[in-house]
Amino acid sequence: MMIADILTGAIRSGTSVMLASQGELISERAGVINLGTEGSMLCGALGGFAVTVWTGNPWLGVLAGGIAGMLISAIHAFLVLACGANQLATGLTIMFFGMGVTSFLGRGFVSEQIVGFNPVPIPFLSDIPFIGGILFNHDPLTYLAILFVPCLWYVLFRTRLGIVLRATGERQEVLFASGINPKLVRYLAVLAGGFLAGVGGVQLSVAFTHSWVENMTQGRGVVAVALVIFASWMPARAMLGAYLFGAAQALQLTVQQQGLPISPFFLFMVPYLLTLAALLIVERKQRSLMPESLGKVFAGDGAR
Amino acid sequence: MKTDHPVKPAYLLRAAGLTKRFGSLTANEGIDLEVRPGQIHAILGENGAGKSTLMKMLYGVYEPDEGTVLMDGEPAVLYPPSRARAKGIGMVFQDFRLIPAMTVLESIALAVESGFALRRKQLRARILEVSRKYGLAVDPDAYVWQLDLGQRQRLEIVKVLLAPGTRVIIFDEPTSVLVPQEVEKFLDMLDKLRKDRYGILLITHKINEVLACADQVSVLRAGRMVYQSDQVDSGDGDKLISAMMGEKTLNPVTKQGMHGEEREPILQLKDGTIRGDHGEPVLEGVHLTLRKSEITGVAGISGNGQRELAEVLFGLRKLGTGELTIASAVMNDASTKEFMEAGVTFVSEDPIKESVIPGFSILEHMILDGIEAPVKGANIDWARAQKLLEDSEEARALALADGSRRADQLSGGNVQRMVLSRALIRKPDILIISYPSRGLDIGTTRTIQQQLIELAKQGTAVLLFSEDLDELFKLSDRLVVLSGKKLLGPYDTHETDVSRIGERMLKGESA
Repeated sequence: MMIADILTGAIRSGTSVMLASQGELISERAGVINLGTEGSMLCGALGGFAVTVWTGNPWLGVLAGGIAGMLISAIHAFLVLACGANQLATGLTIMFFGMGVTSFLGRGFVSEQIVGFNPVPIPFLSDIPFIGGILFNHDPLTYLAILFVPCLWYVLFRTRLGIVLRATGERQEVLFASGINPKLVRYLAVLAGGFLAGVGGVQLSVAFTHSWVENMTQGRGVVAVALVIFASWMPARAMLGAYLFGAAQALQLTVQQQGLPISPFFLFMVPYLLTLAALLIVERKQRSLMPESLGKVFAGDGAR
Repeated sequence: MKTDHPVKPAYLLRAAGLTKRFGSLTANEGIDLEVRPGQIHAILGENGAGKSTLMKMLYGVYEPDEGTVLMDGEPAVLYPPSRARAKGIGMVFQDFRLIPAMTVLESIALAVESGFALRRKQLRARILEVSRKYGLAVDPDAYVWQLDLGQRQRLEIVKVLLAPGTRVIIFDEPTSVLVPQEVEKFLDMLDKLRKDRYGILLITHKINEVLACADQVSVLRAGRMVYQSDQVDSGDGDKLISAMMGEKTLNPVTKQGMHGEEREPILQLKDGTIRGDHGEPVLEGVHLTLRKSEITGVAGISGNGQRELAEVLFGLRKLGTGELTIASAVMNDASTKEFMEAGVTFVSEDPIKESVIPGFSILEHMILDGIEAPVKGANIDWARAQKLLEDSEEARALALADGSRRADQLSGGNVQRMVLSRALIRKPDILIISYPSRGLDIGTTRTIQQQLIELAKQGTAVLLFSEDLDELFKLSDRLVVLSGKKLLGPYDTHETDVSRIGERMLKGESA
């Protein structure tokens, strides 16, 4: 029973990270590292929570949260792509800005209660023993999030849009020579990434915890960035990594509930430790798969 | 039906009076040119004669300062490249514009497809059809990084042929990346394109190819058309050379008295494994001996481990397994500095990227790299250093640019002159040199070739990487061939010939 609980918890707790990692993956495939993902998630979590409180409609919350995440990533896109700012420095700044601004604006929401999203068991499928409870007893947002992963794979590898996106991250000059504006592609990719991270935040506040607490993402956005590398920029692998992280979270909670004599602070550390270990194992092999111009900014004016 | 509409012009493209200036330099002046359907028009010229500028104007990369281009009897604006492409002009670049992480199919889709979802099946069928029709073997599912240069070129050609409406195809030095056997196939393919009424512009500096396939020839020298003919006869070789060279006379490269003797080995690599950038083995079981006073040439299609081998011999890359000795000292873990102290000098294959520090002058580069600088007190005596450089035989022979010029503002040829003079001035015991004549005109190429021979006579062991088989045969005492992760040879240059070496480049040991 405990294993089923942990796996169910893995999906509950990991979906926010998963969505953020898919967003970061889009952005990095186009060549922009966005360390501000954490900030986007927080903005999404607060924006989605607030709109759900005001309207009672969690779907409007999803929209609002996505837009909030997108807006803050637009700052990153502008600074990096238009002003040529350093991507890592800008991303870190955006992350702390997101923490600060949501803590400040979110003061009034800490005690609010919402209904938000609740598990909708899928008929028949959720009755399958063991697997049914783990996979088919979740909130609608989580189902959508999981369905998004194969869609993203399809777009990346089976459409012209995907080729354009990947070419942007690899050699912008080639793209420029074929008459496409790589900078525009990068803008759109960063915005899409911010939107997804925002929706990930909404999943956390509106579907998973049904509450708003300042800095509630607890580094999930940063983990999402790490996962993209761990996943060698492949959507399904990023999902796997996110749910591994989620499982560690769930394990940590279960162990705490069982009252085992392990320091809660140590348990709290476990998911991050696991992510770190995974990175160590995979990083060495995967480095060559990195998009070639990740982090580089192309003037794009044909000066060369 | 009306019959009095104007006669369809006999040309696909006609340029008149094209002029392009860069600052004070006139790269092209008053160029007239015609491309006709079903004809190959060869543009001959030395490096720096203005061939690339002309082609880039026709492909819309540069906007001409003066002159017009007519297509279908009407003036056509070709700038930027998207317009040139829309008018049916395709270009196969010398430095391929490809993305290593993509497959052949994806690379082609990026250039020729529109719409959302890819019609992979249909595109694959079209690729295979063109590939069969013109003998351009490409595997649609291979990744670009897996392809050798010949395959990359075929991919580029397929891309151009699949682009809608292509009728003029510009080839920029297409055979420079091919081995002799591939050159034949390439010329066959050109012939098929000609029969299918494509108009072809072939930029080259190889006169034999022009004589073998061209219908028309134009010769560029110093930015002007100095010779144009609608007829190409097999006996035109000398005429074309003198048109390319102008007044200049060529010193023949001579090499004597270096054949046959067993000389003292100085550098030895035994059973070496050399790994690439991603840790994959690039060369295995390498045995290589460099001897004093000997030039060892390295032949092979580029991308077969040339760069990695050169880097290992200068300590830039760690030897995987095996043993590397210089004058019997083991150098496996030696740093670049220790290699330099052991008398090794290295000229990299991409000096602009790897040997030029932006903002530094030629003189500063020289001193940075250990050319002895005269000092006045604690300071470098710049005036004297400058004079020493100017007076040095090597710099003079190579017509090195003024020592105070910033190296990052030099042309490729001048950077090449800088790194070559630097290497020669040091009089190294061992010289690892990659593609010495890349970017140089024929005259300077001969000078540097003669200098390498002189250097070897004075006792230097030279390892020469080159993609030009003629150059390798002219200079080398022995040849090794890189092919299929193996280093084959050495072969005595007096006992083998170009076609046998070419065969080994293509097929490895089995040849």
